[in-house]
Amino acid sequence: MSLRFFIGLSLTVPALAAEPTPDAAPWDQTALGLFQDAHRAFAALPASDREARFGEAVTLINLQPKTDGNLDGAAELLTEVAATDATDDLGISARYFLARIAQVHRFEPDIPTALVYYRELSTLDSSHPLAQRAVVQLALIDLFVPDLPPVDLRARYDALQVRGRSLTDPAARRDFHLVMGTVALRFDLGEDLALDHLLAADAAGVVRAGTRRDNFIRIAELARRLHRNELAATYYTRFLEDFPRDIRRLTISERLAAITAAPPSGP
Amino acid sequence: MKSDKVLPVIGLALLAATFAFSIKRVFVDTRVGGDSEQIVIRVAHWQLESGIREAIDTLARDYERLHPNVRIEQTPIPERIYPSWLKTQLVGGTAPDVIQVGKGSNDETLARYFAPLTDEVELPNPYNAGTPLAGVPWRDTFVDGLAGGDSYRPNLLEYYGIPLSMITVRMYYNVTAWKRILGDTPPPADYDAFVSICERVQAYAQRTGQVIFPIAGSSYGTPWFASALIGSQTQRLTQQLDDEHVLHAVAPETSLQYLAGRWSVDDPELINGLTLAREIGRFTQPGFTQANRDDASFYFVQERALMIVTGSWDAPSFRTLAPFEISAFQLPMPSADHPRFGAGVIGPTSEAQTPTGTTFGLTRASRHPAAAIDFLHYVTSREGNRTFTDVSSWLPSVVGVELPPLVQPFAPQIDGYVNGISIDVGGGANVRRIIDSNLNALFDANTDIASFRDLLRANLPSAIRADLRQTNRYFIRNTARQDTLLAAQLMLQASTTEAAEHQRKASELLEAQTMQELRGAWITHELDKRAANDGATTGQQ
Repeated sequence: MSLRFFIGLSLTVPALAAEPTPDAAPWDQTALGLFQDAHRAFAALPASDREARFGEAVTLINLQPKTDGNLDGAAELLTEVAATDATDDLGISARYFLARIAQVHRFEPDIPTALVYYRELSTLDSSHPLAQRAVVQLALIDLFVPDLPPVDLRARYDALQVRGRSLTDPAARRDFHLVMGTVALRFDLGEDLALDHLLAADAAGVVRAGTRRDNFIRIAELARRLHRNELAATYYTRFLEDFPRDIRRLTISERLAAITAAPPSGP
Repeated sequence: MKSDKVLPVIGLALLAATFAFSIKRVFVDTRVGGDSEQIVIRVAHWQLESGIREAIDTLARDYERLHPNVRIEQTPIPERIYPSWLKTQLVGGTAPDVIQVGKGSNDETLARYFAPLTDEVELPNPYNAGTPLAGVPWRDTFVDGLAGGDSYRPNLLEYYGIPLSMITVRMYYNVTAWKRILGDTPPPADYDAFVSICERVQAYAQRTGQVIFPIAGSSYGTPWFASALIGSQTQRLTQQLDDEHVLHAVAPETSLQYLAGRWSVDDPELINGLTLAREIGRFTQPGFTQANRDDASFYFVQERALMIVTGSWDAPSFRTLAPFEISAFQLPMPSADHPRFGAGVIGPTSEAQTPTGTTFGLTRASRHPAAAIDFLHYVTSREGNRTFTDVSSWLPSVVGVELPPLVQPFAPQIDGYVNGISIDVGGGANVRRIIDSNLNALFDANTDIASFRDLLRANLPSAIRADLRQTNRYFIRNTARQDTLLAAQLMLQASTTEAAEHQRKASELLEAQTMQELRGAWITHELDKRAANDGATTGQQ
C-alpha cells in the first residue's frame, strides 16, 4: 500500500464530509439570514439587473461589521434603483429602505430625512405594502415627539386617523391600528378611541400569538371598563378558547364569570 | 532488527491502524453499510445530569427494536465546551444528525447549518396513532405549542427545535432527615408553615448539636426564592400599574413607572416583600451569599441542610449523589388571608407558561434526515416522552404524559395568578448587578432592611435608565436586521409559487417590528421627558 493511497484517502475524507452550504437563490439566502452569501450572489449578477442591485443594497445594510461606508453604498444603490422608476414595486421598496437607513440603521438617526421619504410614500396612491407601511412609520415618529403640547398631539392624531382610513393592505391596517390604539392609551386620548383601534387591528388580522393574546385581553379589559360587557365577554372567551396555557387564565375566567353574572350592559 | 529501525515501523503501524480505524468510523459506522442498509443517527447534547443519558439510551434501544436497520448513537458533550465543540463540528462538516440547540446556536448558525422543521411540525406525529393526540399537528402535542424555549425563531420565522422536557423551580428536601427531625409533618402549604418548619429544624440542630441548617443557600438559588416572595407581595400593586391592560407586568413599563415615581422600594408591598426575603437569610448557612450552585448542592447532599431551592433539572443528580430519599414542594408563599403579609397577595402563582426545553435540531448535513425526524417523532410521542420522563425523572414536554410519583412534585401549577414585580426592575443587566453586589445587605439579619432600601433608592434609577437604553439598542438592532429579512419575504412573495406563505412571513415581521418600535418610541419619549424634567429641576435649584 503506497503513501499515495493514504494521501489520496486523506484528501477524500474531508471532501466527502464537506459542509452542505445551503444552495439557494439569493433571496432565499437572504430570507435565511445568510446576508454575506446573498450579498456576494447579488453582487455577481449583471450591473443592469435592477432587482439584483436592490438585493445588493438591502443585504449590504446588515453586513457585519456595520459601517458608514456600507450604509452609504447601500443608499447609493437604492437611489439608483429608485431613479429608474420611483413608483414601481422596486422603486417604492428602494425609497422605503432609504428611509429605514436614515431612521434605524445610521449610528446617528436622521429622522428628518426619513420623514421626507415616508411622507412621499404615504401620499402615493399605491397598494404596495411598504407605501402603506409609511403611514405606520409616520405615526410612530410624529406622535412620540417629546414635549408635544396635547392640542398638537391631538391634531396630528386626527390627521393620521384620516390618512389611515385609506389603508388597504391588511398588515399596514393592523399595525396602524395597533399604534393608534396604544397611543390613545399612552396619551390619555380616550379608552373608547383606543378600543375602536384595537378592534380594528383584530379585524385586520393579528398574526403573532403574543400580540394576539395581549390584544384580546386589552380589548376585553377596555370593554369591561367601558361597561360593554357583551364585547368583553366575547374577547375573554376567545382568549380562553385560543390560549389554553397562559398565566392569566384564572384571572380572566373570574372576570368573565363576574360580567356574565352582572346585569346586561350598554352597547 | 535494531530498535532504531523497529520503533519507526511500530509508529507507522500505529498511525496506519489509527487511520484505518478512523476510515472505518467515517465510511462504515456512519454511512449506509452494504446490503444491510444500516442507518446511523448520531445525537449530541450537553445534558450530563444523571438519568438523561440513560433515558436517551433507553429510547434509542426501543427505537432500534422497532427499526432494526437504524442505530442511534448518543454523544454527550460537557456544557462548558459545548458551544466551541458545536461550532467545530458544524464548520468541519462532521456534525451529528440531531443536536441539542440553545448554546452556541444563534440565528445565523441555525439558518446555515440546521434544517427548518416548520413543515414537519404542522403534520401529525405518526407515533401518536391510537392515542388522544392522533391526528393532532406535532406542534400542538407539546405543552407550550412550541411557542417557548428554543423551538421557534421569530426572526427566521421557522421552527428549528423539538423539545424533550420542561423546567420548574422547587424546594427540594431530604425525606429521611425530614422524618427524623419533623416526624409526620407534611410539606408546608403556606409560608407560615414553612417558617415553623425552619424554626423546628434550627431548634433540633441546637438541641442535638448536629450541624444542619434548614436551607442550603447560594447566590444561585436563594435569590429566586427571594424574588418569588417579593412578587407575592406585589400582585395587587402590579395590577394597579397595568396601564397597558394586559394583566401582567411588562418589563420596560415597570421600569419607566419606577422612574416616574409610580412605585418605589418604600411602598408597603415592597417593604413586606423585602422583609420576607430577609427572613430566608435566617434559615441558611452563614455566608451563603458567597456560595455558588455547587457549594449549596454539597451542603444538601452531605446532609448539612434539610432543603435547597433549585430547578427540576437537579432531581436525577441529587437522587444519584444523595444517600437519602428526596422529594420537593412548591416554593411556599403567604396566602391572601395572611394577617401581616396577605394584603398584597391575590393568590398562588401560575406556572402555566412554563416553556419547554432540552430542544433538539436537525442538521442540514444529516445523511438521513427522514430517519432523524422519525426518531424525534418517536421520542416526543406520548409513549416515547413517557419513557423519557420515567427514566430521567425530568418533566415531559408532551401533553397528557402521566407523571411518575418522583416527578409529580415538579409539575407546573396551572391554576393560579400572575406574580408581581420584584426589585430586579425590568430584569436588565445593570439592575441585576446592583442586586447581586448587595445580596449581603439584603440577607444580613444584623442590619436593618432600611439600609438595603437606601442602597436601592440611591442606585436603581441610573441602573434602570442604562437598562432601558440597552433595551432600545436591542430593539433597534433587531428591527434593523428584520429589514433585510422583510425585503426578502416581499421579493419572494412576488416571484415564487408560495406567495401566501411569504406574505404571512412578511406580515409577521412587520408586526414584530411595529411592536418593538412602538415600545422603543415610548421608552425614548419617557426617558427624554424625564431628562428634560430633571434638567429643569436641576436648573431651578
